[in-house]
Amino acid sequence: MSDERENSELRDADELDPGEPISALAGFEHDVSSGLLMRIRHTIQRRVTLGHVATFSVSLPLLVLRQCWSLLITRPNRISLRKDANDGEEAS
Amino acid sequence: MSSPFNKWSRSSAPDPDEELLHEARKAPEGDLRAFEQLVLRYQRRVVANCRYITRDENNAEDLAQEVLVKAFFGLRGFEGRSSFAGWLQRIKINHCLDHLRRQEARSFVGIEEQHVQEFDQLKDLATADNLAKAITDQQLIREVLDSMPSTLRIPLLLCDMDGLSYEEVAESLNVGLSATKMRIKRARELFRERYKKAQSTVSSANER
Repeated sequence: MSDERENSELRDADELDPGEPISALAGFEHDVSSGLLMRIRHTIQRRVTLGHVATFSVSLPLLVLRQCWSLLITRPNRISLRKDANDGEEAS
Repeated sequence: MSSPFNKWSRSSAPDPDEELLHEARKAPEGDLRAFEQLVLRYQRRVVANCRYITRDENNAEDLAQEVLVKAFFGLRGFEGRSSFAGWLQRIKINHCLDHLRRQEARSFVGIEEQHVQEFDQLKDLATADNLAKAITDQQLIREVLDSMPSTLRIPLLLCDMDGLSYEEVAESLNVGLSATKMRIKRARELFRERYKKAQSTVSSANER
């Protein structure tokens, strides 16, 4: 039943002729204020800067944390290496 | 009238913006020169669409600005399956329709509702005065478009100004194909009728 209705609607749509397009509308334009380009440029630059700040504010703390972590990992190793070396010297 | 907008969805000809588009995409960050050339090429058209689809004189440039900024940030994702003009067209139409829906939500009036027709009739009265003052052909077209109800004006603009096919208009507006064709037919008739009437009003006013 719904298929029949759909088909008849499609047939109707095919048969319907909306007429000739309005040619005057095809190239229709509107005057633009001189500041539009400048506003677009500023908006883009502002968003790009904001993106940089956001990225930086996330990546900087991450970088600091990573450095702290690597220090924490490597420092005890170095201490234990130095201790081993000292023990070796004393034994000899 | 050889605007690239009118052929965007059907033509297989090379994209006239390809060179600028390529430059804009490969430009180093902060270098907007190529994109600005594209803006200069399309801004008048985008503003016209925003102005007549939303019928919002005050926000037309703001809407156009948002559309063009959106296009800039979407440039890297643009796959080139359609022309740049066609792609920009899609952004613009979706943005304008979203704007209308937001307005509709704020005013509690649907663009499909009977209330809109009533509002549009009130708008007709307001624009009738303006017709007498309209001088140029462009002003006449503007007045006639402003006097048309949204349900007819928007499909007409998408079809005849933007060059979308009936199927694309139906899809954009989420309306059936036959309803879309019917609206466009009625819109064209109404436009021609009002345009003729407006022309005779202006010419009789000029004679006086």
